[in-house]
Amino acid sequence: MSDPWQSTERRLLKLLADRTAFGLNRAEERELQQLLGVVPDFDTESMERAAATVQLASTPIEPLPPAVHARIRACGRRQVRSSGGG
Amino acid sequence: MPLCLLQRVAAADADAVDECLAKYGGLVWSLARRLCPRHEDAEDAVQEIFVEIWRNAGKFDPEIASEVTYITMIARRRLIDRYRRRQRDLDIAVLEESAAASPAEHERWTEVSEEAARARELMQQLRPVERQVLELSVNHGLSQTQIAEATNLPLGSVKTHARRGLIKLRKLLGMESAGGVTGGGL
Repeated sequence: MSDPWQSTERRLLKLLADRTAFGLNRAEERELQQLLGVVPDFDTESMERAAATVQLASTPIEPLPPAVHARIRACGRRQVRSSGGG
Repeated sequence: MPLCLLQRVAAADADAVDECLAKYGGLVWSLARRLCPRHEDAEDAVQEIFVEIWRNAGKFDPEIASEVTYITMIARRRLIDRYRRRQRDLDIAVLEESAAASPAEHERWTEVSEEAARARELMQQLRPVERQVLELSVNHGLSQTQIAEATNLPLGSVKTHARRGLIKLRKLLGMESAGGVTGGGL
């Protein structure tokens, strides 16, 4: 007889992988949320970290254009000062 | 132990904003350029991403992920949201060329971090077809159908290769312990 924990885990992994790679339809998203209700401490971001690895492996780095850098810098300093951080 | 950049941002250290931009600005810009066909879109996307990074800096946990992985994750999430909203067709020929970047091309990159090198080592442990499908889906936001057309793979196989690749990478990254379960095959 199959272990229900194992089958829940396998289904969760498949759904999380599908969500990360292609997105889920409404029924799949509902199923994912139901399964996460059963396993609330499952690390849902783990698949996104795997996807980040794919991007890091194959993204040639170009410098940020100076004008964009200046704009974001000003915005970031304002935001950090006004919010007091995080 | 000294605070890392994101922890300093969370502690309202404005200088950390400058350092963070200097260190990760190129990475975020490069990720945005891949998924934003227009230069102006990429500029807006990068600003949105950094605003979200500053806002979420306090949630960063160095025990779970490296700073560069965390930033890439936030950037990807935001870019995919924008991309899927736009649903713009991409030039598949260009994508194929980009996805097939050779190791020699990688060596020409001016800023190759240790993290990127480690990521490439991990990617080498996937099957070539898993790498190809993941690069097209994760890096370029292509749908299952678009990938099937670009690669001549059956539609169902595209999803299976993407799943296997991601689950394998997750396991390689040691994420199974964070989730409290084993990586598992399909």
